[in-house]
Amino acid sequence: MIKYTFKRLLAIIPVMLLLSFFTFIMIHIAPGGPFDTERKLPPEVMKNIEKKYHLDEPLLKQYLRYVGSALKGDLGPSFKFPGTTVSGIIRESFPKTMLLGVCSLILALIIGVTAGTIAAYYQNSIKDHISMSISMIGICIPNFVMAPLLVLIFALYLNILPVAGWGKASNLILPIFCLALPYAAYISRLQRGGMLEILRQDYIQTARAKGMSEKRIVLIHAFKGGVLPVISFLGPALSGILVGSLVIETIFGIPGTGRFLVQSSLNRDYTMVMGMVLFYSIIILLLNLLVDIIYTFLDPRIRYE
Amino acid sequence: MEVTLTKIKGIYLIIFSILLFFMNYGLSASTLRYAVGTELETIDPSLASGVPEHNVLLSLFEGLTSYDPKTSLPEPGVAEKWESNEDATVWRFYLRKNAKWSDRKPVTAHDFVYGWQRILDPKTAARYAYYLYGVKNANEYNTGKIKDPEKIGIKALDDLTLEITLVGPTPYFPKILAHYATYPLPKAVIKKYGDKWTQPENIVSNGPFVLSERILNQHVKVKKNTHYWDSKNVKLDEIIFSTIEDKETNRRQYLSGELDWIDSYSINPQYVPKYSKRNDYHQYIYIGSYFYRFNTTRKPFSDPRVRKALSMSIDRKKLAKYITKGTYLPTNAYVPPALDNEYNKEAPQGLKEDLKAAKELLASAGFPDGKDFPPFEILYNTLEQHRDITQAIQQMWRQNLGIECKLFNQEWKIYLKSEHTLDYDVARAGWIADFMDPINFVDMFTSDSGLNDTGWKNKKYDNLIEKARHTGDSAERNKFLRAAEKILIEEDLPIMPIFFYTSRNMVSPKVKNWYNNPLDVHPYKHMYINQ
Repeated sequence: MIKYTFKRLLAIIPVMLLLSFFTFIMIHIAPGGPFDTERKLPPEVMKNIEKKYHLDEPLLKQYLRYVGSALKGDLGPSFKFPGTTVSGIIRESFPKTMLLGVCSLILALIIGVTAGTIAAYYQNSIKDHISMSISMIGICIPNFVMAPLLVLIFALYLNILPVAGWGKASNLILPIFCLALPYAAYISRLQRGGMLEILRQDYIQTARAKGMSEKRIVLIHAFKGGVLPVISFLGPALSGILVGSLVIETIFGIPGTGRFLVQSSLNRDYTMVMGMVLFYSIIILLLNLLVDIIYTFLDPRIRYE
Repeated sequence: MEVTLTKIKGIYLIIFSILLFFMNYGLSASTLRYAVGTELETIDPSLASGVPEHNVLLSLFEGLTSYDPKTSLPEPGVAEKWESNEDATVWRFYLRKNAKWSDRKPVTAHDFVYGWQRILDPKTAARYAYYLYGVKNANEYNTGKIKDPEKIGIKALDDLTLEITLVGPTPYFPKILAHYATYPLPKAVIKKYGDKWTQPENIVSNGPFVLSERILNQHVKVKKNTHYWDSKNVKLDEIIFSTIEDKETNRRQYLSGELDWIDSYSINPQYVPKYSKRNDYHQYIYIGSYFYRFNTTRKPFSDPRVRKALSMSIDRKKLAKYITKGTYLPTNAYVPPALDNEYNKEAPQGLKEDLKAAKELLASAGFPDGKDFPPFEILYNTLEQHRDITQAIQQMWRQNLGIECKLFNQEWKIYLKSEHTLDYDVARAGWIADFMDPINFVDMFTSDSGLNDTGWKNKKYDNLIEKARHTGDSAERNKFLRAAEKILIEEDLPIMPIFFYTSRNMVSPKVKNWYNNPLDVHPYKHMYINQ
């Protein structure tokens, strides 16, 4: 197990190198630079800027310089926001994205797992149909539609929640709910599928035959196996929520990382693009690894050698 | 089963009630909340270059002059009074004795000298350095031709007297001195903290407010500066500049009362018909032009007859009314009338729309009824409104002249590159004045201007601008500038004027002392909140 984990960690290094290289090349190939503005700068001034940010050096040298300082944990200064560093921006904004993401995931799990279990237990009943229809709606309505709708109702008509902002607990309710909804829907379907499969297994029949209570069978014996598909979805879900929170962050004016991720490439903020891409890839790689490890604990049949 | 469900309901209820408990809308009575529309690149006056930055810096610093809230014209700022020699080339500014930095040190003429030297220093690599090119040796120092900053035409005669020597006569000089590029800067603080001097714990400023908090993509908070010389007249305790970038979010926050003020950036034209009847909606003519550039190095746009024909065959009134919903004003001229009343009295009016004449011009250029007119593209930066306008113009040209063109949109940075490298046929463009003088618009199209981007060169035009730059007499100067604009919009047309911009603001009725003005710059000094 330890050996396996170590191997997987080692594999991250070449992935990151390739990723950083291609990102670096692509963002530099894109037309327009970080310092292009409506008014062309005098060439002498432009030269000074390029020298300051080492943009006058050959690309490969720039790349190596970048990798060198990135390894030391320095992701460079932001070109767009002078006086700030990419690491500093990530440090400041990521906890907000993370808080939003984790809360949403928890909410999605609570709603999804419960709904899925109910649906599976009462398969083909009215309860099943209702919860699955709702989850279908949750999957189908994109959050850029859901969010303004909820804002309209709760903030503008009822006036009980703020439209946007950050810093107060009330600011979190709508964004967490909007972000969680599609995932809750998806999780409920996974949970339902997983539970259905397990409930048909022989050992469940055995448990019933032994006279075990229905509650105990479903919540303990069946649940452990039935939740596996959901667990394997957690890694992609969390990375999906973290990366995908951009829309929600924009609509609710949340100063998270998502906005920087997109804005940086529009601004040709080279160091910021690199920093964001590397940071997000590491997170995603590590999350996937974590899920694989959790898997072995839940399903004794899975072994990594 | 039932147990789990009840538990969940319980958890839900508990979370919800806790959150409701923490909700809190209370703010101190004199806090102004204003959405500037986007994140600020910087709050270092030497490095700033945009309108949102200007709106925030206006609260933190004060230049030699400041803006009159109703007319945008200069009123005394740090300088109490000023005078110039006869031809307006040497100016003297007398600073008020009681002007102080937020660390209680006096604001002196040396602080201005340092500020100007810093923005012009090639190492600062400031985008707005050109703003001071009218000062003697400023251009030379900024581009590295001279190395000694002492040679720049700004000198402190003593602590309170500043003398500025200009390249040529500049009767409008005081008008440009309320801009952030001209602010005094605290040398000791900048030397001590370097890049980090603009952080809330380090920054020292001389305006009515000081920086108290900055969170990227959220807000900039400033609070009243008690050391400001006129602080007894400053009524607001705090301003929160929201830097959330989403227009819709800002608009909704305004409607729900979470913001007191949103500006053109956050008010999409589509809402204007709905809001224009409200008493908190303010629309005013703005000092900006919306126009198309022709690439005069490409055929057939190298022929002025073609450019004229294109310009004379679109219905601007229709565009303004139906596409922009009245948020832009139709025009055949280029220099916005709000800039200068004197200039405006006899300003050239441009070519009137005239289909018959346009067809004749096109025929004489070799394209009768648009026959054989090569297909071309209209370039615009990706934005819904530009697309709608471009589509309408495309259709007008097809109907009126029988010529075909395609629409081509590029993302902002790529679009800029295409314009700068003349890699386009016809391109959408806009310009907003830096200061209240027509020269700011017409000197863009001289042969050597970095803003020309049309490939158009006209010696007569260059001469007129050069003469205007060397004339101290306002009336005489306006004559030269008008003659230049006439070439631009009636004779040669490297550009095709379409609209003048308007400024749009929605300001809560409880914000007092807020006025419409041509620059759309609103000093916060006298504003207050009436609950």
